[in-house]
Order: sequence, then C-alpha cells, then structure tokens
Amino acid sequence: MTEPERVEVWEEPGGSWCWRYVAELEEGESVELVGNRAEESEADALAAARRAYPHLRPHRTGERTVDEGHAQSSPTGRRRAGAVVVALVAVLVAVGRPRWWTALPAAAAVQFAVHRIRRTS
Amino acid sequence: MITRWVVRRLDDRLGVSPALRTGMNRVFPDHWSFLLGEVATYAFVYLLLSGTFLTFFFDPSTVKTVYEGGYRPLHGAEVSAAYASTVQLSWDVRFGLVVRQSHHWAALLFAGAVVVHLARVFFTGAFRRPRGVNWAVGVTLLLFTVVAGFTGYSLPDDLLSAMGLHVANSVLLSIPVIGTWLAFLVFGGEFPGAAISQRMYIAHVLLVPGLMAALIVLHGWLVVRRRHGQFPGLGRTETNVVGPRLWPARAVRSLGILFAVIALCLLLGGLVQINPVWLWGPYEPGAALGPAQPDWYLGWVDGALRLYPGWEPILFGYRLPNMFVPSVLLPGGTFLALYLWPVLERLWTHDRRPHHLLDRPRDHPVRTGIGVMALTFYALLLTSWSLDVISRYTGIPVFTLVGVFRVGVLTVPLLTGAIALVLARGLRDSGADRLSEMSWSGLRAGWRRRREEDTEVPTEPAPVADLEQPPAMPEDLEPVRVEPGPVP
Repeated sequence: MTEPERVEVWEEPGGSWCWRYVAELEEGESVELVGNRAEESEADALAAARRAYPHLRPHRTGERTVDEGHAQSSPTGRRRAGAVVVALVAVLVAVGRPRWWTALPAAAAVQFAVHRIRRTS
Repeated sequence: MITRWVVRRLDDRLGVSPALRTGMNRVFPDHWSFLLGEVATYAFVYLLLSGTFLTFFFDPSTVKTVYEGGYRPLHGAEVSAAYASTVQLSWDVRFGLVVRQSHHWAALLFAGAVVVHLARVFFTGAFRRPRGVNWAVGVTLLLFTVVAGFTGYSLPDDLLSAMGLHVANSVLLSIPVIGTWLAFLVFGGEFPGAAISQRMYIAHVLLVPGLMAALIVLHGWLVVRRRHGQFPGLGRTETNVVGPRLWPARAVRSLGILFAVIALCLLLGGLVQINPVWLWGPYEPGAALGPAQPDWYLGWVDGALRLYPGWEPILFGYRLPNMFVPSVLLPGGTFLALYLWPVLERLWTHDRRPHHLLDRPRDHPVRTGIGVMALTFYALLLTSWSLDVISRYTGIPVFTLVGVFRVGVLTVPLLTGAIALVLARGLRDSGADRLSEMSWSGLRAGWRRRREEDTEVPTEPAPVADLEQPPAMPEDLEPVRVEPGPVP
C-alpha cells in the first residue's frame, strides 16, 4: 500500500542522485515535485530531501522517472546530428555547384562534423 | 549552431555560464499575486524610457517666451519656456503627445501596482522575518513614487500644476517653527521663485529615479537572497521553496508582462486624454482652476485637506496651522505606521520566527481587520478628493457632502474593519474555503469569539527555545521544482 505522501530517492544512470516528493490524491491523481538539483551522493540527496520535508522519511527506489526524455535525445547527440546534417547539406551543394566558394565551406563542415563525432564518441 | 558557437566563445572570455546556469535554474514560487511587483517594475522601466524621450524636448526654464506653436488659441501668448515646450511637445512633436500621455498613465499604473503589491504583502504577512528590511525598502519606494509623481506633474508650469505647488508651499509653511525656513529652502525664496522649476526637474529626472532604480535593484536582490514567500499547499513547507524554474517558465511570463505593461501604457496614452495642459492655460498668480484634483496617489492628502475642520489650536505658544494635521501629520503618521508595522506586529504576537509560508488573510483576523479599516479610511479620503466633482454631478451641496464624509471617514472604517475581522475569524474557524461556502453557524462562531476575546492570542506561540536559536537562513530552504504551467 502506498503512503499518501512520500519522498523517494534514486540514482540516475550518470551516477548523480535525485529525489522527489509524491502525494497521492483522492481521485487517483498524484502530485510530483522534484528536487531542483541532482546531488553527487546518496547522502546529499537524502539530506536535501529531509531538509525539504522534515516530516517525511525518504525511501530509496530504483525507479528512474526524471529527465527520461534527456537520454533519448541528449544535447551531445543533437549537436552531433546537427553537425552531420550541416556537413551533408554543404557536400550536396558543393557537388551540385562545384565552385571554390562551395567546396571550401563543405570541406570545413565535414572537418567540423568529424571533429565533433570524435570528441563526443 | 552559430548561436551556440558565439555563446561558447563569449563564455570563454567572460566566464559567466556557471552563475547564469545557477540563476536560470533557480526556482520561484508561483501565484498571480506575485506578478504585481513585476507590473510595477516594468511600469518603472517604461517611465524611464518615455521620460528619456520627453527630456529631449522639454525645457524646464521659467523664462518668459512667446508661444508660436501649433495650438492656435495660445498664439502670441507670453508663457514660461516650460509651459511652451510642454504644449509644443504635445502638438508639434511627432509621437510626442502619445509619449507624454503614456508617461503620465505609466506613473499612475506604477503607483497603483506598488500600492496593490504592498497590500498583498501586508495581508499575507510577507513582511515578517526574514523580509522586514525588504518591507522597509518597499515602503521607501512608495514614498519616492509619490515624490516622483508630484515633481513630474508640477513641471509643465500650467495653472493646475502651479496650484499644486501652491498647496505644497502652504504645507511646508504650516510646519510649526521651521516651516518658513523650510519653504524658503525648497523654493529658493518667496513663492513661486525661479529656482523651484530647475530643482524639481533635476529631482524628477535624476535624483528620485536614480534612488528608485537603486532601491528596485536592492528590492529584487533581497527577494533572491531572502527567497520569495510561498502560499501553503501540498508539498510546501517552511523549509522548502516550490515553483517553476526561472528559465523558461518565469522568464517568458515576465517578458509577456513587460510587453503587456508597455502596450497598456501606449494604448492609454494614445486613446485616453490625460492632463491637457493647453486647456488649463499657463500659470498666473491671480488665477485658479476648478474642479481641480491632483493625481490619485496624492488624492488622499487632498481629501483630508478638504475634510479637516478649521481648527487651529495653540500648542506651547505656537499656533498649529489648519493644514498641518491633514497634510503633514497624516502622511507622516501613515508612512511611520507602515515602516513600524512589522515591529508592532512582532511585539503584539511575540512571533519572532522566520516565515516562508505566507498567511491567507483569514489566518490573522486582527491584521486583516486593521488592513481593511485602513484601506476604507484612505479610500474615503480619496473619494473626498473629488467632492466638488460629485457635487456637480449629483446636485448635492458641497458642504453637505463635506459633513457626511467627515462623519463617514471616522465611522465607516471601524464598521468595515469589524466586519472583516468577524468574517476572517469565521472563515478560519469553520474551515470553509470561500466566503460563499461559509455557513451561518461559522459566521456566528466568528462573532461570538470576537465578543469573548478582547485580545488575539497567536495560534502557534513561539517556544522560548526557538527565540534563542538563530532563525533558519533562506539559503537552507531546499528548492523543489514544478513543471511550467498556468499561473495558479
């Protein structure tokens, strides 16, 4: 049976620790308030949760519910994809209109995309 | 991608990203009433922008000049350069009238937003520790608002504004012992004097706005430093602060308020006429205008002047001039009471704990009753400011109205204050969410309690041990994030 109010602490895949306050309402709905910052350790997350809700005892859970969208499309991944798209467009333009002013940007864009992929992989 | 590149290069040189990230991730409690301060801030921003435009065309000199502008009825009239430039600004400068009128409307909006914001802070107890200093800063801002407004609408040197200056001179003269010296000091000689126009101009465009800008920055910094109070609710405690992050939720909303305030000022300035100085005419010592009212934020003093009877008692061998009580003691007492209110309430309730959860007005019925009483009192004084206009439209003689308002201003606030006290107690004790949900038994309970108890005991008296411990610093409050959504 779930408690009407509880505080949960869990570990994120990156190693940081997060916590959230959950309150179950009568209509089957729930209110979820997430700690504003990720903590470096479990002890820090527990301390932050206790400070915010001194009347509740934090529970550790394995569930990961915060920032799920983050992993699906991280800023790093988006940047890499953006660099590849720009390089592809520049190469296509250079092939279509082979001039020095299309070839040079295309070469630069390809170099930048390779650099970005190497750096982030 | 280009933006990211530019931002990254800039950050390499400036190194501001950690501070910026912290600031953008900061959470702020959310409620529609918390936006009133932002409305005031943005009205002030528009005042600075429009005021800068006006300074390009306005000449504060009282040197006589012959008016040759686009307003035909004044052609050839010998008027002061201040008056001539104001009429020229309104008639001959492209967009000048809109800016001048919107500047005036923005001043009224700014003062209104400050007063409503102050009332919100008062009724929710947001002035309690640790926000006492910020309350004092806010009250000082209100005081400067009145000074800025008065010096602003006195600048054009028209008949109406000169009448206002005449009243100001009389107010200064009414102060016993130092009055004449003070009036000479401010006006630089006998009224009107040549110096006052230049002095008011410097005060209006430089001194007062500069101080106000510094106080607004201090006010905002203290809000960030001491944290904004939050209304009680699910998941909100005295040790956390729940709300959306500054970016994007609050920042975008704030930007929207900025645009809305500027749009409203321009709309009013473009469509609703205010202070048409060419109709009032230039200042002439022997002339007067009627009906004549100052701007609303000074209207309550004007109303008090109209209602105060012709008493001039002699105290310690000095005659207390008729104007002294309504125009010096009343405003002075009002601002003194505002400054001291947090201390007075602390002495009354013995509550010295820091509070991060705000009260609902019902939670503190005595405070609510006093607040409603004060608001009724000042609202009646403000209404008295236009007794001549009311008389003109209703046909009731002015002196009848004066008699009715003299009685009303002393009795009606007591009545409304008592009603507010009983309703607040009834709401608190019955647990009803709204006034419409309260039963007669709840109302009766509130009334009976009022009769049984002469003094109100604080609901949660602070334990003695708490007084010895240092109050929890706002930095200890744990920020808790909610997802962006509509304003609660």
